[in-house]
Amino acid sequence: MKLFFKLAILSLLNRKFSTLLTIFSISLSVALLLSVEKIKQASEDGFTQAVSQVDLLVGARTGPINLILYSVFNMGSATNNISWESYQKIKSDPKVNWTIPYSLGDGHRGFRVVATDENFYQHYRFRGQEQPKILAGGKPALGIWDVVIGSEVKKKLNYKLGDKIVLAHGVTRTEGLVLHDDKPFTVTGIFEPTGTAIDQSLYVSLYGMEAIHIDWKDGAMPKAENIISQDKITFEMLQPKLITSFFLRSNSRIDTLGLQRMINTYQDEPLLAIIPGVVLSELWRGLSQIEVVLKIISWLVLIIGVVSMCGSIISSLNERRREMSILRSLGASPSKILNLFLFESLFLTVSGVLVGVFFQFLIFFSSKELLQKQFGFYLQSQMMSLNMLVYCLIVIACGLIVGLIPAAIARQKTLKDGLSVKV
Amino acid sequence: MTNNTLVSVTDLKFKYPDQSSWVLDIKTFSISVREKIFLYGPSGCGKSTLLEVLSGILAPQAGQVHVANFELEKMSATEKDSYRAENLSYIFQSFNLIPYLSAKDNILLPLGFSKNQTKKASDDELLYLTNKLGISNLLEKKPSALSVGQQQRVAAARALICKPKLILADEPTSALDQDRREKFIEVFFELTSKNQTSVIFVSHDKTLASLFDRSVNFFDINAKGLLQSSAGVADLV
Repeated sequence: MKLFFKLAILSLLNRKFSTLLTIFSISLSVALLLSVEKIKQASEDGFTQAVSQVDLLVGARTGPINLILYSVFNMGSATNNISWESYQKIKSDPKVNWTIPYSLGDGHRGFRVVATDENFYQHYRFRGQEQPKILAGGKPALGIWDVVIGSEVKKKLNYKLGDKIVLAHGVTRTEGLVLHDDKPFTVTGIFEPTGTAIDQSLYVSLYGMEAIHIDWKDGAMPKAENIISQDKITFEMLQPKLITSFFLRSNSRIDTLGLQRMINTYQDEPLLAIIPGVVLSELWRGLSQIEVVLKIISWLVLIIGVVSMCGSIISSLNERRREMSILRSLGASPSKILNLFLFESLFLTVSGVLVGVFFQFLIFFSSKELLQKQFGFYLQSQMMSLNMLVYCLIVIACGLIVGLIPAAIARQKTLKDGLSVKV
Repeated sequence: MTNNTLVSVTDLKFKYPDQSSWVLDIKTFSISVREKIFLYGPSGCGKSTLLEVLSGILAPQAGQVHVANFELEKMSATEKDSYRAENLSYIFQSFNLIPYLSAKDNILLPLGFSKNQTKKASDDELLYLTNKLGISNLLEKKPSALSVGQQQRVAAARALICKPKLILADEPTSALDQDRREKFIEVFFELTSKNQTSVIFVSHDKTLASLFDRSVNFFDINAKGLLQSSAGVADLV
């Protein structure tokens, strides 16, 4: 046994360069494969966990996808609202732990404005446990004229704390035509980048939203003589009448289903409550093209990796034919020769996989920051998913199977070579 | 087969699958224990093929090949493997040393594949052989650091270490000059005699013949040998 390992290891050392090259090429394939898998995982997580820790998302009756799109992803718009009374009624249900109200509709230079309350800053989570954080020096937009801006907004428009900004009415996509320019807001906080729709949003209080519309009648701008000037507006004058949607956390999972049924059959107005995680997963599956493409890429990478690995193993084992012939002529049994070959391909693939996993960690550790900043791409899924482990095992199994080929050839031929080993 | 006979070949006929005439057609050929045979003939006449038949690598189409009480024609491939490992050694024209092992590891290699050797015995034998062959100070060197003559001594020590019954030597001295050849063969024979080892030494160079117990012209034993000028498949040397 000692002789076996001595032969195997010394032989590999004797071919340091090609050994390293083989391990390197296997490791590159593995690193590529695992990276693709990780990116796939991360895009799925990023999507399906755009909002987390929330049990229900409630809006006026519409399609579940539509509700998710306008509440979570900033896409499309609500067709109807929820009355303040209904919201309060549901909020005060003992099964409800907390709620985050959203009032949408206004925009600022292409970015969406969300009116919400302190619960947003306290309870909103994404990708599991992550909370939108306000950069040092800022504070939540709780005052009437406060606004907190997302990182993209800050980057694109170059705002800083204390800047005055004007919201546009009813527009989120382009520059507004109708501006609330008589009632500017002050930037009181800036969110750190999150990689979610938060980055592209501005947050004001429900009071702020109410305040800029206080003198509006039936969705139309006030005439000049009816305008109420900004400095005269106080909290007492502001009573929100409508919200667009709200997130809800119940006290327990069982309560969630009860609440969902209660809201969906709510008598006073047509409402819709959905479980965001479920709908997001469905939506992701609906976008299965992306997933299929990523999966195909994964498999192509795996195939290419395995084929190139086979190539290098076979060529490295070919080099050993003479060596094997000599061993054979010295009395090594065919099964010993077979084991030497298998050991070698196992050694090469296992080291290749280990180095590849290491590479992959290295790549993601070093580029994590860049990916987050440049692409809003977050990699917090576990270091090594089950899928990745399975891929590694497939690579190792392929290596063993491939190792069998030259081993079988050697077994056949070495004996013949044995007595007349031709250099 | 008498007690004193090590190798006996009777009515042997062998040809390669793609050939029409016999490469080997040997009525009878035998070697006794301790006997050192010099087998000569031109390149490509089938000498090496005979060695491969004796070692069980090639199976003849007809005839009996008995070596050290093993009846090769009746043995399976696995049985022949262990027969080879326990009874035979080879020395080649190219010494076939493993380049990444030290001289010592090269010499001890056959023992690693053989089952009935003890550590102590092999250490003693190694010391004895390498002293005799004058390579005891080279044991830690790699083959590439040795001269041709030294490499050959290492190969010889490797062939002798497991005390084989028969050593098959195929043009082992062709890389040496005349003077060194004779010296090498003298030491080599001293060592084989001690272990009762027989030697079949194949060469096309007759000048060494006088050092052997018996010298055999390959054409005298192989009936069809003269016609086999095209039989270079097995013997390209």
